[in-house]
Amino acid sequence: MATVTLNRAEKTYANGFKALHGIDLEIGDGEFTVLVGPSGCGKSTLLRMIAGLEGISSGEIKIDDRVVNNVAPADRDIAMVFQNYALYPHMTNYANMAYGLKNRGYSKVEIDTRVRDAAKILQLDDYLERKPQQLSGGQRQRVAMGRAIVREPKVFLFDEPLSNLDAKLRVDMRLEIKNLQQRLGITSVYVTHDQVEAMTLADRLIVMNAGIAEQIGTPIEIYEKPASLFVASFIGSPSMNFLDGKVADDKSHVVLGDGSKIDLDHVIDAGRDLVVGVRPEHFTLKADGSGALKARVRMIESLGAETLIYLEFGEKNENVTLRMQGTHQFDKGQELSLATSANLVHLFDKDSGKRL
Amino acid sequence: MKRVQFGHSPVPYFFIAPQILIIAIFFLWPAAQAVYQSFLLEDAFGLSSQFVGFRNFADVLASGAWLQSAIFTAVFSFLVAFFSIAISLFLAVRADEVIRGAKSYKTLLMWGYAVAPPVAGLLGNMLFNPLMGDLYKLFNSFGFEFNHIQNAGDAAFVVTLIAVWKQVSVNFIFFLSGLQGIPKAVTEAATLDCKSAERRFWTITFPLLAPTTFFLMVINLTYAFFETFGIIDVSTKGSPGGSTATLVYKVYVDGFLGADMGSSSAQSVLLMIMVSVLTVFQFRFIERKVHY
Repeated sequence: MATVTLNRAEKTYANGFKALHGIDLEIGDGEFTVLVGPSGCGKSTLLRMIAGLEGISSGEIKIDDRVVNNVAPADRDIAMVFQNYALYPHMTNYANMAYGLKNRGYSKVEIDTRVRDAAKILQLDDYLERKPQQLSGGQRQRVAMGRAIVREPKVFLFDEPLSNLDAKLRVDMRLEIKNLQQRLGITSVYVTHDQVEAMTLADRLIVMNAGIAEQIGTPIEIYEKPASLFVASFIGSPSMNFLDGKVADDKSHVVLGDGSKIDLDHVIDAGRDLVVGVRPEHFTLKADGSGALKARVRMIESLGAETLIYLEFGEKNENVTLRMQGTHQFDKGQELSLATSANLVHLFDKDSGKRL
Repeated sequence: MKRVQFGHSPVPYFFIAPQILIIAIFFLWPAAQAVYQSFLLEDAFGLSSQFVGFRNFADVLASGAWLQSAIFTAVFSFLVAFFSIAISLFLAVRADEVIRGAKSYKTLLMWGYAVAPPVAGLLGNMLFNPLMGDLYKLFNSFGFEFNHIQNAGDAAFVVTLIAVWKQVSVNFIFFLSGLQGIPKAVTEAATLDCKSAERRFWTITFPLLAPTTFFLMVINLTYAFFETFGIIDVSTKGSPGGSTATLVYKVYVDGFLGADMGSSSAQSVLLMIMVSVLTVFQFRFIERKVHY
């Protein structure tokens, strides 16, 4: 049971590269926080700084009310699950889980109870005497989680724990992690580049880009109100459509490159250049041709439950993606008429990329 | 079921022929000669020889000199293997932790590898020379009354020191690569689980280096048995009184200097048997404890 607080946490490497530009963050007790971002955005560095595996260049990291900047990793009362499991290959799974407890001076009886309890939760009872190499990837990751939960730490840290697993197992383990975290109620920080994991696991999501936290919020807040072009393009799959436009003189709509009009529901200076963002699922098809945007079909991907239609419009062949429920059939080059509603449209400043 | 037969090409045999030839000429043939000679007794001038069965072996085993050499070899080999492994492991762990100037440290520590055993022996000879040797003077300045020319213990110390020094750099390279083979995440996981660096070393790093350590133990014992010949020949020549002559050196002294081919051959056959037994023992009983 703990909170994690970061005050202007910065990381500059010896070669002068600045990995983190001052992160402010407060993680509440029992909260599941997910750090998401493309590779090189600093999310793993941030996690490793909380763990104590990386030093902090300036600022402050607190676990509960204790500043842990210079506290050894083993004394921070945190447990970490690594991407490639990082199990001790020469020890049995039992010994792997017991190792941290043994070094902290727990009694044999206490260790045994805790390891067996964790094994039961993780369905590892039958594998305790085996060594990690004799297990499958999913089982190994469960042992790694067991090693974390037996410690009953203040904070769980997960560094892309599911990246090495195959797609189906990843979905199962994702549910298992969520379940376990809710059951144990331990404050958790989870790093991933997978936005599905990020959306499904997070109580609070932190989207990182180039060493800064671009947006912090619940997954739904971030999906519905992305703070910048970067966040808008990173969250949501397929990615949001971005269309360049200019606000019309009467301020009622935006004019796109090909002259089509998209209605506005808030007031913006006339003549201003901006980027209009529309998610692929927020376009609707108008069979009667009354839609604002006319686009030609370029390619179709049928996924069964939904269909992704890639289109292009205007003279510059700008790309638009449309997502529809169920299966649909169109001819290549066929012209479709798309409509959207003003409250589903996202507007971004063309220069700063910030949401308007 | 019909067995599938592929057409055999002579080309592979052609490729391995040089290696086979080298093994046959320089290893199998001399070894066979040694076994053959160990059953023969030559006259003093080497003009005639007669078959004497196991008499050479009986003479060797009954002689105090051989036993003394065998004991020296055993103690010497154990000390050389132990200290060269321990010192190089310590250096490798330290060098692995160094961040600034790591490359220079590593290169300097590896340099010793390039020194041939006789050269190492020569260096030792000069360092311990009673007239100008710095180490000789140093030890005596502490009041040790160090004299390896007359004192068997001191002479043994000199050859052991040179042999260990020579081998440390080889072991260092293997340990360093062994350390770099341990996944970084495993070491990191251990820093979260265990605060004491020393304890972490003995519970995580050392067990993961076990395959390297075992391999080095085997090659270091072989080194101490055979390759230290050059060091001994250049530094002490087995003196004083044969107290620093390993079994291999004694084979050479008795056979090539003493011209007693029968006894020398019998000794080398015994040596072969001993090394085989030792190797089997290592793999049977020690390797079991190694986790790969």
